[in-house]
Amino acid sequence: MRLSDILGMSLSNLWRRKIRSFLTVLGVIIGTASIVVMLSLGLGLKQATMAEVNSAGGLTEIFVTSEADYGDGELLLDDNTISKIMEIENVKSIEPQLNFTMPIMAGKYESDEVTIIGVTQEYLKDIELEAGELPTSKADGDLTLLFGNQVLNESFYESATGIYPYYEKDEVPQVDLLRSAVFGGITKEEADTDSDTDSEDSTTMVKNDVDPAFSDADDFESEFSDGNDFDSSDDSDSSSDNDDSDTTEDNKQTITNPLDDLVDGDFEFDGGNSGSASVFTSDVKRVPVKVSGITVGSESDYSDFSYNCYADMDCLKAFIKKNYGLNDVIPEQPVDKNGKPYKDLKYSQLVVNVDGSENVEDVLQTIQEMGYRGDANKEWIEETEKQFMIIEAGLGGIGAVAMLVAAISIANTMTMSIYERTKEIGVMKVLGCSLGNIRSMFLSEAAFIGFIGGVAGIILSFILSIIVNHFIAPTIMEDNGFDASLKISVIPLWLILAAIGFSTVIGMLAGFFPAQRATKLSPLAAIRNE
Amino acid sequence: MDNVVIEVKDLYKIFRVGSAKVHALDGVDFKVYEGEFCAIVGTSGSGKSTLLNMLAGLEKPTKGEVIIDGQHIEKMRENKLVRFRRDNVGFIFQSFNLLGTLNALENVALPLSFRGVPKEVRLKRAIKMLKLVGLKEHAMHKPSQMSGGQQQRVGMARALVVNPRIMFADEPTGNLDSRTSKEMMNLMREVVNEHHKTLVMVTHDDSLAAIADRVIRIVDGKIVNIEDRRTKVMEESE
Repeated sequence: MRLSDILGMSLSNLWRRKIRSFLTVLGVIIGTASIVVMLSLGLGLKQATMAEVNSAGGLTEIFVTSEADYGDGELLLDDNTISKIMEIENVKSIEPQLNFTMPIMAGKYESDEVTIIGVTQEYLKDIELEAGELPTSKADGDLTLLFGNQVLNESFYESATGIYPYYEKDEVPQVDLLRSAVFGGITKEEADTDSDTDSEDSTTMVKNDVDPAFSDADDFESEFSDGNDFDSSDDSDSSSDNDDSDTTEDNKQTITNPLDDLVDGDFEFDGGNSGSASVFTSDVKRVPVKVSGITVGSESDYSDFSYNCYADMDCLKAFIKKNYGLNDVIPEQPVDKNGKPYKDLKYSQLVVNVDGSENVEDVLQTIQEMGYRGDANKEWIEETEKQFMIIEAGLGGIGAVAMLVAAISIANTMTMSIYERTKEIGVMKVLGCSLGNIRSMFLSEAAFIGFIGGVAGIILSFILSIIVNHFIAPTIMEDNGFDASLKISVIPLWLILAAIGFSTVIGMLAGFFPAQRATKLSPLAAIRNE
Repeated sequence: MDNVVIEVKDLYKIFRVGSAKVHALDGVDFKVYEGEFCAIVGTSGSGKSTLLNMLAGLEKPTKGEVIIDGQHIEKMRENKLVRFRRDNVGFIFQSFNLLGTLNALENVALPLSFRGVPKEVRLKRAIKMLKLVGLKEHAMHKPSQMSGGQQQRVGMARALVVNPRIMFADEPTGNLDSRTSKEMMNLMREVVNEHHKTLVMVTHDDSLAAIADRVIRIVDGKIVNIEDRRTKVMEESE
């Protein structure tokens, strides 16, 4: 018998009992849809996670850090390392990062330590801004910073009292970083001397003008003593070209801090208060710093860039070079065995871009053989993928229960159908229809039920998927910190094909025993007369 | 003498009904020759249907041999039997047994589809067969739209379409009135004469059997009489 004849007969038999066929197919539709929708949720979750990974570095990046203890000069990350790693095959580019910390004073607030990360312009370009603009790459010794939107909340306190407004008063520090005068503090520490930078007996008073309208330098009157132990070589630098700051050599700091009714009317502060919590003591040199922008997000939002300040690499290098001498210990920079600083700046991290994710493994190994510590998202992703496979298996298993019920329903329908058609089967046998053909006929009938159910199930899945993605996904995704535009349910092509194939195979499996039974029916049934 | 097509040797069929043994066939011997219209006549329960079933390989004998065209039917496995029937045998049923979902033409073409004949070829041959039985204009009718006589003629066409050497007919007129029965018998006679088929028919009606070349009379599983109508007819005509 020709395949087309077998299929034609199967279809006409299904068509003959429309309602029963429809009900059986309906079972398969529900079974298929439940598996597909369940899996699509798992896949959507995975895709959302992977999208997060991609936006946070992607699969082709290797993060290289120094594994060596401070003091082992060979394995620190510097320009030498960069050129060495660049020689490795398949390395596309390297983006170094330079860490630096310094106290920062803004208005009447200050922070004793803000992390400033020097990065490339390419890196900066990916940071979204709430206000202002990206920091300049001008390497003229002035520092331009991009403030993380949470930095002010997290680490700034009132200079005079040491109170963190965000934590202790539940209010946002009232200072406009973009327009106010902002200072950084340079603490000199000779490599060998154990200079005390403690600020306990500081009498620093800062007159802050918090009102943005008065950010002009003329209103700003600050006097403080320059530490005498500063290197003379750096003294010239301390008077900055920025008029906002005004450095006078005076042993006694007399900076008045007028009450600012905008912030805290009760705030009493008398000059020379020994209770001041400020780190800007006499031996801390103030340098004006420009804040060019703030990263995206309101006071309660956070992103990967919220807790640090960012600066252009060249700009930061020039700033450090200008403010620190050769023998000065630079914050965050390693020192050698003797506690001396290195001649050149060491990077805290190198981000190595590999030209393809398939080469990441090799490059990573080479870097690790060189003695550095390398981490790739890829390793983490592989681990995560394994976990998602378990999740998908679990979700698919739930859907499979519905499919099992559908399979039983197919088997039932086919058994019924064969009982009904006992005579017909007998006639066909007498007329010379081979056993194989009879089996094929019933198997293909069951397969059709599975196939049609599978196709319709996929259509139903798509409808459900669209509903989920349209009406449910945005809220869930946002609540969990994902991009709201991400889909929660994803049905890739392979899932469509696999689902239809699976439901067809299930149909055939369910139809196998009934079909086997049909071949065993006696042809004598055809002769019997009812 | 003509070629022997079917040879039955010492055929027994014993059913067990509880502890009692029922001899449906009790040692049957006979031969059917090529191009012969052979009628097996007996009352209900005489074992005539059982005999036909064994000739067609639908039932296995308890003992004995059925040799068709030199092949031992009783020893064949079901798959081989199906192939044998497909290639050699046409079957006409008492209750027509047309497939209700197919029209007359498709019903006639059905046995050809089991042989893998392409659709155009088999429909062409089916229409020829329908013409032969005089039902060309009913080709597109479903069985439910046709009378019993028409249905049986479709059944006849279906048996003929594979061009079998042997045809079996199981009470072919059992569900028909006497007039259509007569027509049917004449049609069968015609087919045997013009197409040189060997036809074995089972019936309980002596008057219908009169049209056959030979009549095998069976009572309680035993052949009581084999009547050769041809010699009789010849004798009568002499």
